[in-house]
Amino acid sequence: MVLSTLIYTIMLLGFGGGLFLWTPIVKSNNQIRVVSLVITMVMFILSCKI
Amino acid sequence: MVLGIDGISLFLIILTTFLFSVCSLVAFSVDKKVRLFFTLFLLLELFILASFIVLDFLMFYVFFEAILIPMFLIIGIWGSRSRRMKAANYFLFYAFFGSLFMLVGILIIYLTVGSTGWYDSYVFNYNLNTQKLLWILFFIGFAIKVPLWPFHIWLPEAHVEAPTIGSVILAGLLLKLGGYGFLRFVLPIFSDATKFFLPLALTLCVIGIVYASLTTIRQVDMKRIIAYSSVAHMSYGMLGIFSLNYYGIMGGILLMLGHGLVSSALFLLVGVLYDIYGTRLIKYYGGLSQVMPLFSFFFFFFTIANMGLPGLCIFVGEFLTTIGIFATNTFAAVISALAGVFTVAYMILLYNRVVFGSLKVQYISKFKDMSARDFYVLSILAYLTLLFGVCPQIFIESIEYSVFRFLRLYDVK
Repeated sequence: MVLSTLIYTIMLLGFGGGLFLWTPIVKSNNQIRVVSLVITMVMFILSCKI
Repeated sequence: MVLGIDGISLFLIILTTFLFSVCSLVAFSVDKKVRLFFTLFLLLELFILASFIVLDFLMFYVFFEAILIPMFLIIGIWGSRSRRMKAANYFLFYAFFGSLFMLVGILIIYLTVGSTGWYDSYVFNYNLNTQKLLWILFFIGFAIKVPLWPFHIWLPEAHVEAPTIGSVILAGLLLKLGGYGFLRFVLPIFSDATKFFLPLALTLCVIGIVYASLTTIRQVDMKRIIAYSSVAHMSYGMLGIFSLNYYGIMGGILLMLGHGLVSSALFLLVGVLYDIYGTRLIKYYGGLSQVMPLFSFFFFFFTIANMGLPGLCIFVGEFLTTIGIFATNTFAAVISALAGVFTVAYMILLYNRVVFGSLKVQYISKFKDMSARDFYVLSILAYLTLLFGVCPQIFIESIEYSVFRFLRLYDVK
């Protein structure tokens, strides 16, 4: 993946993830915790690819 | 918006995403305003990453300032005691005060150069007086963030009142923004002013190391001890960066990365104790090795790592920094190396009081060790601390090209 795409994807995940938590799809506190964990993990994996 | 990553920012970015992953696991125990907490948490990660990536003074300032909002709310809402609002205000006031100087500096750059881009600023020939003015304005902003003495007052206060995750992010990442700011925006661009102000910067770093180390010895709150220890370690890292040679800068960067791992682990360990017993004051603890063997092991491991034991991550940074600073200023090197004795003293004192001695059954009534989640999180941190200490060349090889490039930029300028 091109470096700039990777960087924008990581940043978009942080912003989009924050917004996603307020959508009706994520209901319970546990779902919020798991979604946040998954988002941060994906951001970590993508940053390792830099 | 101009973005860019090099060896200096690469591992800070990876450290950011790694520590946020660790924190999101630890944050499973947050049960107050969960949705708001995790939203602020993800935004904070975004702002920190953006600060490490942007190559523009104004955008860096925007993200640098944006970090204050989620961090202020995290300390103010999820802090542990009633003094949390005072601590949050301290944090906001100090950081905002420092950033205002930076903003004035950015305005001057824009009026002088006609752009706030990093490269435009680098190729522009500032006269010495303008450089000196800009250097001072940026120095105040970044010195508060590091924090260097005498701008460090906000840090112990914010650490003590912040929730565990807040402390981890503060110590592990926000302090590094100051060091990164010096490396990226101050030293290569205002190189003549850097040479002029070098004695001042070195003096503040040395005073910071000695003062913070001595202050740590008389603290009674565990978080305050680790907070002051962070001031000493970061001042040591800055001393390396201001030595302006390969070993010093490499040591400073490695020390920042190592400190990010070890201080985070120590704050997590204090958080484990606070969650079980509800206090961080040392006088209520004693003999924990009898009831919390796993905790005692990890606490010992990260205590010796914080002391700079060979084979663990802080040692690599401290060793290279000492070599670097010896070449620049022998007096500063001797004083700062001697202050290492104090680090051993306060860490051993802390460990001894908490883990050994007779069990204080009047205060310690819950015979419970750390949870499985804490165990796995600390195991990962311990593994990385060991890997960093035993095989530092993995990191050095990726960073050294950028350090040479930084030195070339500095010399050419």
